[in-house]
Amino acid sequence: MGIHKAFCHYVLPILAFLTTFAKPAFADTAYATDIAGAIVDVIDTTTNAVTGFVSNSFTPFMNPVGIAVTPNSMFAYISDAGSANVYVIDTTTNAVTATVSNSLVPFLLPFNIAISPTGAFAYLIDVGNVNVYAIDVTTNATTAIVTNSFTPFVAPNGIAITPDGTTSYMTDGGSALLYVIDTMTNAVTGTVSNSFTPFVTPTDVVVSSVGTVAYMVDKGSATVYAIDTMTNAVTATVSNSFTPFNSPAVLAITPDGATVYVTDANVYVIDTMTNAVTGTVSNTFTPFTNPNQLAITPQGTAAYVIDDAGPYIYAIDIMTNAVTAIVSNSFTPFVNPFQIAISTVSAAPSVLPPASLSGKQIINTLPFQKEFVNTLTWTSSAGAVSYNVYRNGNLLASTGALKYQDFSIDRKQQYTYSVTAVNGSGAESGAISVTIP
Amino acid sequence: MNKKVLWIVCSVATVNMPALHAVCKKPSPPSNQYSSPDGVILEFRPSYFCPTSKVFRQIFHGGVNYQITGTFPVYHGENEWLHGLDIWGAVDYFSKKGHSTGLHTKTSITIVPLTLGIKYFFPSVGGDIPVNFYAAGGMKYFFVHTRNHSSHVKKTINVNGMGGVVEAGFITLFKEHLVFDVFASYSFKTLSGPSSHNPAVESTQLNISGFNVGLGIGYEF
Repeated sequence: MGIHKAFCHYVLPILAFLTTFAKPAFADTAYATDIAGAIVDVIDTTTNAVTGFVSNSFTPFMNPVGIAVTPNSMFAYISDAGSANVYVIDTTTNAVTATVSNSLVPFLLPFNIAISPTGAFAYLIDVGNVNVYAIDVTTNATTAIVTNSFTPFVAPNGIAITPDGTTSYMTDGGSALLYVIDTMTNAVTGTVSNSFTPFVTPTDVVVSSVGTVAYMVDKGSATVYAIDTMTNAVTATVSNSFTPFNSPAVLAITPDGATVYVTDANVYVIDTMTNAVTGTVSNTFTPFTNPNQLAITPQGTAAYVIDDAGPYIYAIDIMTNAVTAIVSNSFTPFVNPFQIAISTVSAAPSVLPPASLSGKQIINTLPFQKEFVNTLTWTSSAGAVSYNVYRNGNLLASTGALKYQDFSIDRKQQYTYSVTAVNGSGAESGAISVTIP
Repeated sequence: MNKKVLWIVCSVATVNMPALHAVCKKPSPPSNQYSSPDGVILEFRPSYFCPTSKVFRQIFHGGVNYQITGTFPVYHGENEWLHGLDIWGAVDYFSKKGHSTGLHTKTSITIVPLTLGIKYFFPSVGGDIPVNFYAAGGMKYFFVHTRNHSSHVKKTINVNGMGGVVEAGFITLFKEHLVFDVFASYSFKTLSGPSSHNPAVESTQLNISGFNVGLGIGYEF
């Protein structure tokens, strides 16, 4: 047997097997709020099927609307316009673990949520009291209401945050403006200037992953604008040589920033290099009627779009720009799916999370002082070289020990801790969580 | 500071012993039916301090307390019952290392109280070796210093405040001037710690009250 033949017969298959095994595989979970069904559906993006719904032992969902997933995919935040609550969901258990506390102006109709790509804070638009709240994702509490010394908010709607977390853009269909918010001061610092077709009813906005460009859709003028985030000025309108925009509604941008999708009577594909529509999503299933909200998986391989008519949730292959499936639902049928967001976890982690995790608050009594320390202990995981400890979704520490003590706490606050195992190649397991106290 | 005070008191006591004796010695009572210490008494009194606070005990347990105490006669008249009345002053020193409850981090405490009160010596009983029982009470001003070996809490805390003390015991004199003392006392004070700005730390009170049982040896001038 020659070397070439031996290589082809034995070495290549082994390499192919190892490559396949080592290839990072991801299992994305999509969450869809159903405003009329009063549930939040959990969708397995591998099978494109509803696998259940978010359990909620707190105030029941009434009209869940907005949803956003933290950058580490560990938590989702859901606004409920009916119960006037913002819920925190552990994506490991698909259960509500907390509600956002709010000592400021009470929520009235909490609506759209955007979480900073840094994972530190979120912005929540309340369309009832026309306020924009800043939420500390660590404490799950509102910290400020965005101040605005410019044209007052009328009907704030879409909101997006730059990758560095310093600036937020928010559309207002009532004042016909796109506001620029400084996230350090939680204050409006200006509005986006526009020397092109004037804004009429701005509805949605996205920021690219590099943060240099934003796209805004205006339903009223049926225009999609490209905005330079350095100058906060419109630099172009998206050209469309296909079926003209009629009532573009919602935007999504791929993680690589190469493509923007916009829903209208169809789903348009925009090349961000040329700022031109390059096509529409092909659909051999039930035709689109009123596609509305959409979301793209964190890996940028698929998009999910909600069609209010039907209602349906379509899965779209980003490579081919074609619908590949309609999400099946053998549970409670969709009534009015409203928004969708996607979390991702490694589907085949080569390391498992610790089998058990326990947590307690220790009171360390010293003369004249009582120190409150949240202490976690967990069992070892085979193959793990370190463990990541998260508090309310934010990474606290990486440690090789089987114990962690959190001294930087507010003793009156409840925290949810999660621990993951990390193996030698850096792969991280799923999380195991505990709430203290 | 404690060592300084001890040094000064001891120096004064040894260097000026004859002078003190001359100055402080009471005039003898008109008759010998009455007898109580009639001069200034300086004593060194080690004792065992048993705190009443459970928290204090858990962290530090008990320990040895050192005291320098002095009694000064105030009445030189004819009334035999007032003859046993003395002004009482003392300085204590208690220092102990311990471990916090919970995380068992190292901590230490030093307590230096200053006492000012009244001590009453009852007329002597006994024959060849007369014994005077006494009772005392007074104000006790506590200086407390704690040090913690944890990087997350306040490392040093200094607090002070006024408390009190009651005491009972007996003394006996050997060879005219040598004093032997047996006593038990109860001092009481609860001090508050400084407020904490760290949300993980709560400021608390510490009860430093407790019983002392000890012996003393001194000199009557």
